Amino acid sequence: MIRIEAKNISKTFRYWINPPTSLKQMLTDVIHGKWDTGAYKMHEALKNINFEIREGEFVGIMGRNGAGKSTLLKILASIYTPTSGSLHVHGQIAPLIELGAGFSGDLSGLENIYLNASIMGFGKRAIGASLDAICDFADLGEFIHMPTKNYSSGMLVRLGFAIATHLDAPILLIDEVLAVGDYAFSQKCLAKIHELHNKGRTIVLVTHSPEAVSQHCTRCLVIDNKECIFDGPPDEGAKRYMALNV
Amino acid sequence: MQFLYKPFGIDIFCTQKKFLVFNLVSKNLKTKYRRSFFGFFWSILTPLLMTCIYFFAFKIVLKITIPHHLAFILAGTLVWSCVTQTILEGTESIVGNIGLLTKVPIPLHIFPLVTCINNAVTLLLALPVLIGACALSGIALSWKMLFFFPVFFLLCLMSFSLALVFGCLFVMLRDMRHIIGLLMQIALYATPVLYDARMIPDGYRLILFMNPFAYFFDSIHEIFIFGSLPSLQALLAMTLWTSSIWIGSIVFYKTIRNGLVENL
Repeated sequence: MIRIEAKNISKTFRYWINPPTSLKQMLTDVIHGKWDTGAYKMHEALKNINFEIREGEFVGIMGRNGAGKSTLLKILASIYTPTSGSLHVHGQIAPLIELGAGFSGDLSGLENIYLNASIMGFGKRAIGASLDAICDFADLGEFIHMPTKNYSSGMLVRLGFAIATHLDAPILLIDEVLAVGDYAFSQKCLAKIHELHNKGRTIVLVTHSPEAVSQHCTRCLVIDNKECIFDGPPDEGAKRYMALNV
Repeated sequence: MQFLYKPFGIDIFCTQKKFLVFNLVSKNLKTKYRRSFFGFFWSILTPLLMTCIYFFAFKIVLKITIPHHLAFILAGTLVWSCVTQTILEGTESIVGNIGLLTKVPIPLHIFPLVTCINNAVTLLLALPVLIGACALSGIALSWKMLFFFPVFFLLCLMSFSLALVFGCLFVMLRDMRHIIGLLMQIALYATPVLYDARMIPDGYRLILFMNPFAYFFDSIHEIFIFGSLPSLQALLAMTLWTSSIWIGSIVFYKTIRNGLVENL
């Protein structure tokens, strides 16, 4: 079964050279007729990206800074709309672009679980069913009833990761969130993601780590200079990525 | 029928994300009053204090006579503060949630919607104070006061639509905050909030009633102070204003929403 279908995806951003952020400037621009001619320029971030991701695949996306990885991930998560091309996603996505998106420091850990999970698009029943597992993995003990502003950053990350990985989404999009936290925690996270993959989940991971890709992924995409330059086995992909960095 | 809750295919009331809306509203209400001594009473205290000030200025200094003057001003001020808060906070709500919108797929219009619900809930909780003030002032309570709810619902729908449009414009045009702040100041005095619509001189009546808020506040005074129902003309005008602003705002939102997150 195909989970994600990307056909000819291109993304062009419009950058304002002189952003008309004030009404006065906008009016003078319109009067001088340069409203849509010289006011902005186009920047192409992705060009003709094509791929299909099947159920149960663990795809690593690699690329240098600015290559377009994050843009691609945001398109896959339907945060951005592609300028041209089409995207079809079959199944619910848990986007882990930021851990603990929408956490409010004044709310308790428990309240934040509901808030964060509903922000990621889960309903009351789905959250209730996973609540115990989330609390167990986050391992916060009594702190779960305290406002999260009293948490250490490690605790916050643990809670955020626990929520994102224990909800029953068939597709996980993960953006370098593993870079945060200490070594032991990032290993624990990778192990958890690996376990989810073994359970048949589809995972897309954006990373800079060739080790993670060759150890865990079943497939690798390398993005460079707006285009997908490699799509194949992870070991080769990791080598291709390393070659780019020389 | 479907057009009412899903106009142009947009799930404008976020019916598919009810639990998220509920969580965002409860988060806002909880964090707004947690750790403050008066808590929820702040949202009643402010209009009460403003009522006293207006009462002093209009009744004691300017010696204007309006029946049940204190309750009259309170009714106007409470509802007006709900409307302005919805519009002002709603204008900033999309830009203010930039952190979420660029990290999670979430519809933009949920933020003005949540702002509107927050303020509506606050007003409904403050309603007993208004009813109490009416009773103290010697107004007989009647079933006709229930008519406030449909009027208020239309008013909320209109405020939400305006907040949605201004919120989208604010993404591109940061002047919006100042413009709206100023317009709401003007609108307060151009709307029969603090004075009775019957006091408007004939020459100005037509102009003032071109203001979409005018019929709403006139009706609210009719309902709470004069114990009568809003006139048929007022009902028609309110429905027309609300539906045209509502449809206009959704058409505007539909054309502008693609690419808005990229511009945040």
